[in-house]
Amino acid sequence: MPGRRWVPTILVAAIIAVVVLGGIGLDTVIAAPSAGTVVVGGPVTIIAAPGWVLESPPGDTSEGIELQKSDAILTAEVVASSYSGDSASMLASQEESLSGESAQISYGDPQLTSVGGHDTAFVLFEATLVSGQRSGVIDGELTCMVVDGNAVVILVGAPQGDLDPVIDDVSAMLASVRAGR
Amino acid sequence: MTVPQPPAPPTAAPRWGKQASIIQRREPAFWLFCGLLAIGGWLFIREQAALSGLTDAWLLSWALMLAYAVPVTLIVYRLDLFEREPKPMLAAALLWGGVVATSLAVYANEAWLSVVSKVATPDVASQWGDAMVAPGVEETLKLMGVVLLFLIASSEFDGVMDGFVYGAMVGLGFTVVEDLSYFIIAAAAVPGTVDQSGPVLDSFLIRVVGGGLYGHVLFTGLTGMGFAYLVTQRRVRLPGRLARGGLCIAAGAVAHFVWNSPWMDSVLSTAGGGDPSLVAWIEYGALKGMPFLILLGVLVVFATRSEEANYRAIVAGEPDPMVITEGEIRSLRSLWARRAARAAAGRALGPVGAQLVGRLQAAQIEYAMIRSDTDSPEDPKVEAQRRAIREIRVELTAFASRRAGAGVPFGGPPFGV
Repeated sequence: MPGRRWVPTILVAAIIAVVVLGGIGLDTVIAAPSAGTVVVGGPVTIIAAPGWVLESPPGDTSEGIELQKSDAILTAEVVASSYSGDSASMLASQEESLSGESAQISYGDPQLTSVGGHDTAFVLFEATLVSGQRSGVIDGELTCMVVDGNAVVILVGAPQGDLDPVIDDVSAMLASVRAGR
Repeated sequence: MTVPQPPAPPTAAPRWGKQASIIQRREPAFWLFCGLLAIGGWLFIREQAALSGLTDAWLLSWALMLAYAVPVTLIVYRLDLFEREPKPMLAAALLWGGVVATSLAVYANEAWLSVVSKVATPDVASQWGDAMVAPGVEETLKLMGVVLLFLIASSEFDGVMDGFVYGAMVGLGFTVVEDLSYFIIAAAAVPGTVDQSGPVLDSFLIRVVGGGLYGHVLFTGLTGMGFAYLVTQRRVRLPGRLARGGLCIAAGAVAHFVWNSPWMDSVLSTAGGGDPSLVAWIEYGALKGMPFLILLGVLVVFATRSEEANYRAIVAGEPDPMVITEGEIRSLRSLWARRAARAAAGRALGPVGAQLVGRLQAAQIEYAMIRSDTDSPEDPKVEAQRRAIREIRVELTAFASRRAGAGVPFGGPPFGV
């Protein structure tokens, strides 16, 4: 009987469709949680991309904020409120500071640019961390921005190979940095 | 005077000799297989084109994975001691695992991981996401390949061992393509690297040398056996089949879950935060995967005993003792027993004797394949195989006599007693 052959085949097709298309559909339907607009420090804010949630205690912006999505972490901090230098010199000093915290770190070439009209310098790095929750090799990006006289340092890190999937989110968040609430 | 004829194989005996073709145009499952192979093939080619951008790493990765896949294929093929599965069916299983299941799993895993990251905390998603998503997605997609092969050629599934063979081949195809992509990702992740071989070799050592025994071949071997139990052991009542087959399928998924979980990660931690050693990776793999490998081994032994019973059913009533004896059947029951029989012949008669016993064993296995293909024991093909066996036996006896005549002591029966 033809039906006897078709039923199990249709069942297999349906199971595969549920696994593949069901997952994609459910992912589209469920909205990603987001921390929304977050105060980094002083007047500086950042808009968290979808999927990025606040990990630092709410309201505690004394040492900046920490956003997390899956394995990736983004920290942002206002290190000076009346900063008169440029982003390149800030980046140089932050690189030095970061090197002291890592067992081994290697930087790419620093890049100077303007993001959202703000003077910005950034550099990619690969680091081996020896302590804390994130021990191991991580890929990261260190960004320094001068936002209306505020020196803002943004550090993104993810386990090796996991930075690429979130790099578009990071670009969007960097572009969302503003001064003035 | 009537000559007593050997009886036809009992109806309960499987028809090993009737090898089904993978091309079954009248089966809807065949067309579903073809359709998904076309979609998966297109995604696969796109993926490989992207990965081949790192040419050296890509070529090295394929070479390493083929060096792994060829012996594993032979081992799986040889473990099926009595019935050799049709090669096109085995190739279809490999293709499903390597082309269809991997390609679809990329999209399904990504979507389900995203769902987990939305409904769970970032820490849970980060640590447990792979364990929560991959076993469900990948084991289902791989098992559906085994199910489709069954729907296309159900006559090739006559025992639990067949589920192991097809499941293991699907798993092997999957692991080859998945590992290859991990190797390339590792090579791409090293900034400014010129020599791409280092990250590829490191990844090969970790994933294949450290954990190669406990991966997809194991997972899908287990789920395939569970499915085969469900569909072949019809003498067992349905609730019993569902329970035991379901447990076996669950064991494959649990093995995958444990493998992907962060349990026992402490084995890999190092004092300086550097990379764990290969020994640490091997220890880590053994801790997580060995219990399931042992379970698979036990199930394969049981499945092989069932195959031996089928072999006995096929050759039952064979009137010519020159074709096969009870002792010889016993010596065919495992690779070790076969090797021991050849080694015994080798010790008694030298390398030629061992070789002749090996030929005799192969001919006796082939005899069951031919015998089960026909209802007539007088079928010319059956008679021809009987003749072939007798000729090898005569050759063996003559060789033993020549050695005895030359003063070389013959230490006893060559094998199987």
